[in-house]
Amino acid sequence: MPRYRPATQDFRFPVPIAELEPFAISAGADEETVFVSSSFPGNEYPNLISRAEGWVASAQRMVEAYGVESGFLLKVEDCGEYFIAPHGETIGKWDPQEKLSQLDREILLGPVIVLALALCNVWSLHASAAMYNENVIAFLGESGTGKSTLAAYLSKQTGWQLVADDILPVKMNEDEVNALPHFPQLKLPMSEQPGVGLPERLPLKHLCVLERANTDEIPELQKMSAAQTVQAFLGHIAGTRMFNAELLAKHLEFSTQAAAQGTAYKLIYPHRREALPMIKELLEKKPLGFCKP
Amino acid sequence: MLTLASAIRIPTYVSFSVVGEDAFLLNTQTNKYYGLEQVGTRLWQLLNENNSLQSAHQILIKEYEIGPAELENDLLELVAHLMENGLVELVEA
Repeated sequence: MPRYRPATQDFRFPVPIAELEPFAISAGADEETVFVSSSFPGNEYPNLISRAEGWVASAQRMVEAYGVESGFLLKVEDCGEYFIAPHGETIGKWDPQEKLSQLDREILLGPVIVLALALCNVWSLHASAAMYNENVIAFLGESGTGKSTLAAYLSKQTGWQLVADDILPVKMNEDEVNALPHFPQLKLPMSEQPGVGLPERLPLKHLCVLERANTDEIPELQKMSAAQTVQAFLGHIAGTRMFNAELLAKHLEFSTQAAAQGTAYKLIYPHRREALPMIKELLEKKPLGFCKP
Repeated sequence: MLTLASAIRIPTYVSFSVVGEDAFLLNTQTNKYYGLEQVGTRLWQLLNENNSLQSAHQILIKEYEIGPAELENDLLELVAHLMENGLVELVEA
């Protein structure tokens, strides 16, 4: 069974996943079967955890999450059923005989892996990210605020490197928040995957919440309060609509722990090309980081 | 009817976290988050220690410069709001 290690977590998949090949690990002996297919009796889906509509695999789809003894089952409208073993260690499509389509891979590498990572206390920030002097800066914001544009611009500048385009997994490592760059960025081609060649863990230095401003405004970094920083984490972690009560409680715990490690900034971001060098300068000069030195 | 004599408790399905002067509450039955600011957070902490709204009222009068009647109104309004969202419940006598 192919094994991969995205975001520092080992997963087994019933079939190879091309997008995860850069993070493949050598297959050891297949241990116990961690997912028992016979646990799902017929069309019975016990313990509905959540039922929510969201943007999944290029369309608005209903996603139903079910919890059973042998793991989680995600039923995605017009796509199929996908499973996650109890602690997230094995994920795949429900019918193993069926060949995976592009849509299946987008779902497995989207909501399914996001939920599997959350079960391992790894939280997927909906963020782009770039690195300067080995410190990662994550850019959060609503769709259309310019997260990808800003990270892509920075990554072309001297001393900067792209870390994530759309999803940045993060986790607590003792009293530090780590960014985990080994994660497929589905909107980028395989040849441009930013995580390849980067360490598995990097300190998350800044958290910047982008706020769209008028084009005539000057870019500015405004320090956010601890409560605003918690809100930034709470509001920008992907997949929360699929979380059960236990995961939501852990999500809250992570957000408050992470926020306690430092300060986030609101980045007033006017949408004009000339603002980008000014933002770069601001970020390079900022003396206080997200993680404590 | 909710009065200062009412006993209030935080249900087990509510998780919360205090960050500085703010508190974040999570109702795991509805999967909704809520935020409390300074005085609300202090009230929450007091209710978490002791179910008595009366006792919380007496402590808050000493901690904040506010008249008893005004504080009573504010507390009852806040607690009613918390109850509406399933974040606290009345303890039956």
